[in-house]
Amino acid sequence: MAKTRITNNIRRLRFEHGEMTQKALAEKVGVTRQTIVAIENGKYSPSLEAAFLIARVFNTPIDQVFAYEPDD
Amino acid sequence: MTYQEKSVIASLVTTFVIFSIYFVKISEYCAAGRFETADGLSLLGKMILLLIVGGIVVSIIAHILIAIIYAIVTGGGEIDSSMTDERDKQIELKSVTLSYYVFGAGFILSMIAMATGIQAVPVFNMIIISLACASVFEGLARLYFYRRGF
Repeated sequence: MAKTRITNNIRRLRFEHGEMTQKALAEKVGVTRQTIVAIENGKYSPSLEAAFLIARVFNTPIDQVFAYEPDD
Repeated sequence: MTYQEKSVIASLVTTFVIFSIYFVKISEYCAAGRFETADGLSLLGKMILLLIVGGIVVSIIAHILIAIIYAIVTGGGEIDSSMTDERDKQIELKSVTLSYYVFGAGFILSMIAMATGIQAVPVFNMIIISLACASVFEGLARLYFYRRGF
């Protein structure tokens, strides 16, 4: 399975923000629910703009939403 | 399975159907010697144009049917299923790029065949086969990227 090196805390942040649904987050960010699913499962790295929009939705710094974990 | 994945499968099915019909007709005409006449290439050109137009029409009908069926099954709940976002565009870009390589390889093989003296009609059909393979490969690539990520 193709996994990206970028991990995220989106699922935890959704639950901490009123149990926000994936669809609600997708609508706020301007992507499809399937894209949010793919991001949470590490199957897709969002664009810089989408990453910032997600961080803004949670009112959280972007480096607390996403983390980069190199292979080494 | 998401709407996009179902749409890709519908495209693969229509591609298979359209090209199957085309090659069945081509083989019938070949058996009847229709391409060995003076109008052989003209007939082939008409067949290819029919393939293109027919493919577009069948593809549109298939996608409309998929959208209607999906809307009925999901009760209209998946409103964003028809939306194309950044991930969809990236998957499309990667898949189309890969399909270009497949078609390019087939085209080069066709030209090698022509250079070795094979007649125009079989060479044109080799190019059409390359197109069919590229289309199928693009669909499979999209399914892979939607399922496994990238």
